[in-house]
Amino acid sequence: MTGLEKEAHLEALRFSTRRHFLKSCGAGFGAMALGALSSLEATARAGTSALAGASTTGPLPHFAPSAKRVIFLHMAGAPSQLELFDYKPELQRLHLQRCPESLLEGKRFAFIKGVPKMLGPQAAFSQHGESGAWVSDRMPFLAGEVDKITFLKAMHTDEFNHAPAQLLMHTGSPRFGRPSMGSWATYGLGSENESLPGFVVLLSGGVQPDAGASVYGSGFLPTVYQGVQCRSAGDPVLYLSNPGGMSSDVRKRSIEAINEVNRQQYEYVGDPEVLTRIAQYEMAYRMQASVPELMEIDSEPDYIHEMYGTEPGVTSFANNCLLARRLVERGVRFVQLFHWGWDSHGAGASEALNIGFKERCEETDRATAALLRDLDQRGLLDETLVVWGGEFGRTPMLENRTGDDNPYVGRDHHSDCFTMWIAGGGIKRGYTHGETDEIGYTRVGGSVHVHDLQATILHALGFDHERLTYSFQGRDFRLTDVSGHVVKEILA
Amino acid sequence: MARLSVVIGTAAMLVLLLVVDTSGRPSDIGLFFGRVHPTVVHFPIALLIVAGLTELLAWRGVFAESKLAKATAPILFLAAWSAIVAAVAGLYLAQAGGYDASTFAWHQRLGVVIAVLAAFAYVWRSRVESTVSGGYLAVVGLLIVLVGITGHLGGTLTHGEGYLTRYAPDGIRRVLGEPPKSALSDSPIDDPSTATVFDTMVRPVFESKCESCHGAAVRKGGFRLDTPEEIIDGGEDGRAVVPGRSDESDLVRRLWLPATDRKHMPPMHRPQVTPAEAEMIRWWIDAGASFDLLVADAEPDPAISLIFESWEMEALPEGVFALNVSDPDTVALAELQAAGMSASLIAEGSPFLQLRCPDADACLTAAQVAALDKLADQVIWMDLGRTTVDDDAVAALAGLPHLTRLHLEQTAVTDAGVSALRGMQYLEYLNLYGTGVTDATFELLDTLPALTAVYLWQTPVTAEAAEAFRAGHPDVHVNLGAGAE
Repeated sequence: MTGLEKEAHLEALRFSTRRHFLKSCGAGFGAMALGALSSLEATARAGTSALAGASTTGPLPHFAPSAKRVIFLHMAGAPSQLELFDYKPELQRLHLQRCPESLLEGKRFAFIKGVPKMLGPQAAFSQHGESGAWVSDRMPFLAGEVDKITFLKAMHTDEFNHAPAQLLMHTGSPRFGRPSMGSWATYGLGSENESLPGFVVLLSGGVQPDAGASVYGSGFLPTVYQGVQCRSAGDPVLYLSNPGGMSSDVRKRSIEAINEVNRQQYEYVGDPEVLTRIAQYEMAYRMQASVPELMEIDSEPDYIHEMYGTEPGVTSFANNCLLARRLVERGVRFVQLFHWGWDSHGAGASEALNIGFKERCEETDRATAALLRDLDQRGLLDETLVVWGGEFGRTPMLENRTGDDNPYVGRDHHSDCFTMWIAGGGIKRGYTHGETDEIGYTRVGGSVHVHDLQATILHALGFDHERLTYSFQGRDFRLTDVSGHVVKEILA
Repeated sequence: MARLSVVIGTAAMLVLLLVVDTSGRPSDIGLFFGRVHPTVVHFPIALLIVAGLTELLAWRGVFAESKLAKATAPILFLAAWSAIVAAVAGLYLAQAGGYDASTFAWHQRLGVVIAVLAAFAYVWRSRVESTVSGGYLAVVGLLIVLVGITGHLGGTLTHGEGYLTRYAPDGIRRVLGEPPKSALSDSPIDDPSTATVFDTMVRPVFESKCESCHGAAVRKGGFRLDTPEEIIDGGEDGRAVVPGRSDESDLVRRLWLPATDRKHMPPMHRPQVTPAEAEMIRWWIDAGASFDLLVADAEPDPAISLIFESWEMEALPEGVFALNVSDPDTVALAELQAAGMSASLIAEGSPFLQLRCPDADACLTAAQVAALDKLADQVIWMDLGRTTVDDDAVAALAGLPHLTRLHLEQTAVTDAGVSALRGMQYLEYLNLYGTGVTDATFELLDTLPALTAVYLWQTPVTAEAAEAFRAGHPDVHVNLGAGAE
């Protein structure tokens, strides 16, 4: 302390008399107590409305929704539309012919270099259902459900690498930091179940999506809206169960004490993240009871397990599909599934169209179809959106990174066109929107950009995507950023 | 000298009034002079009012002792001369034509009367030294009233009928005997089944951008856009609108001429028709320039579909949403929530409610039913699935006429319970899976005209009965379940 500071300090202390202490601090304590009393009520309100949205004062959609919930089945790695839904007989004719250079001009690919060969469809196609939709023999179960589905055959995106494309698909921006679609949905609608998070994430395929947990993060929205990952094997939610020696009652009392301290802290600093923390402690405590019951898929009858192809106790896409149904049945708003392993470059067995891709189809087909049928027979499909797709598509050209004698076939990333499908609440049944050229390389009509899909999903949930905004760093942000049009053609 | 000049000026004006042929073709120089009328006309208005005010101030009060009274004669001199110039200029401006005959005639008559009276008032005032007579004051007062009336008529000629009061509060409009503003606002489409393309999309453009010159009051080029007959009849240059042929329609051609072209409409420096509006008018003419075509029947071509979109013509209220229902009673709502039922509006600004039972064991309790009675009009979505409600409890649903979506799945409800739903006009979605309903339910479903989906998995309902019902109701989704038992 310099001499001057010391003198100032001493001078200040001289004024801090006993009278000062009694006067200002006494009044201060009173104010604190009063503040705590009134804020308790406000906190309780903020906490419950953020999580539950049950009362009329909670968040409301802009117009009557056609869907209350969403199940998004993300096939991470980008499955090939040319082996599943986008049937191109002309491509078969051009099989292993050199790609005309005119198709390559001005294009950039993730891996293809030089002049590649064309690659015909690596699966047999046939038409299904009353709608006559083309589905390959890779997905025989889904083929039986096409009359519930709208196919979007001319999807396109801005990114051709996995992480940015996944971020764009789920957060509306290829860069980190934006809230994900599930966060926006729960921010806008709240949850219908006070004991479960509004946004649940289920992973299968062994790894996180390329862009990591950011694809289900809450970005700059309060963290109460971030996706909560549940696991179908082991502890369903990490760190949720009580450690040894801790009884539920002791846990309850300690959470109450912690929340009281947090409430005082909130009074002091006014940071809304403290409210989130309080709400999350309370939610976690309620989840200790609700989650084990939810994850108990053993309790499902045998014919359900048969239908989905589920096996209790393991981590699988099928188990996650069944869990997704159980979650929406309990009023969870947004269930996000990720299944890894669709990146079929053909550089190895696991990513070959003839091996790894086939396995991914087998892992997912039965359960995906079962999910649609099961939701429908419970009357849930009518008010739940089911969305299926990868982050981009794949080229009609063969990618051959390792040389001519490669036993594996694969395709490179393609952002100009790919197929997604969407079914349920407010979407046409048995419909196809959009079209690609005869080799599936460019869009011919009915283009749907990723932002258009997001606008349409929000529309089904009752939101004008241009009005669902959050103010951050001086401007209003929204999921679709500055673009996006609702695809009205597919609305029922 | 000054008095003499004013008298000569007045006489000259009256002579010109008789000589100049207002219906003849205007010469450029005449029009050039005529167009100073809107500028000059403000001088007599202001000067006559000032003359009146100076007399008033000089008569009583703080200025009574001043020499202010001496100022009125020079002011009246200037007022008289400017009125004469304005009147003559107005005479030449009228040659351009296109003005509503009766409004113009009154404007002209009163304008001339003002010029004559102003000259008269000046001569009178300049002859008195001190105290003015009551007669003189009456003339000045009359002048001010006339200036107000004539000015307003001039405004009507320039800006169109109702310009002054267009944005007046409804109270003032009522006093003036005009309809409330909401009746004239360019209303967004309320009901596309009755709204016509012309009234909702085309006429507002004509009203805001064209009718001040081509309307009831002013008819430049003999062309009016305020009635269907006049639009089709066209003006001096022939037909402006050729139904079905926008390429032959002068109206469209003029909209797209360069802004600097003499024939471009609206004229430069007037509010312009936007490209989107021009495109809309083009489409309307190509579609037959019909005045009865309904928005609902219109087929927008690609160029116009975006405009249709921007008019936000989706989300047309249908079924229960077309009903005019008051907001829910907040007291009843609070009672319902206190009784353990969760209620929320289905959307912001909507009066309709969705309800569910967070506590499965306390659903449709007596207290809840009592509160529901007061919210009967507003309740449209109800989720009673997986609760302990039984036939007795769901009998209360009979009092909710607007129900559209009802979940009763996995409850103890049977045919007796669902009979409460008989004849419900708006019920679209009915989930009865896992209940005790039987084939007899189809007889009830027959009475639900709006039904689109019914779920009957895990019920005693037989496939044969379902098939029979489907045959009669091909649009209803009847789901008996796919998961075999």
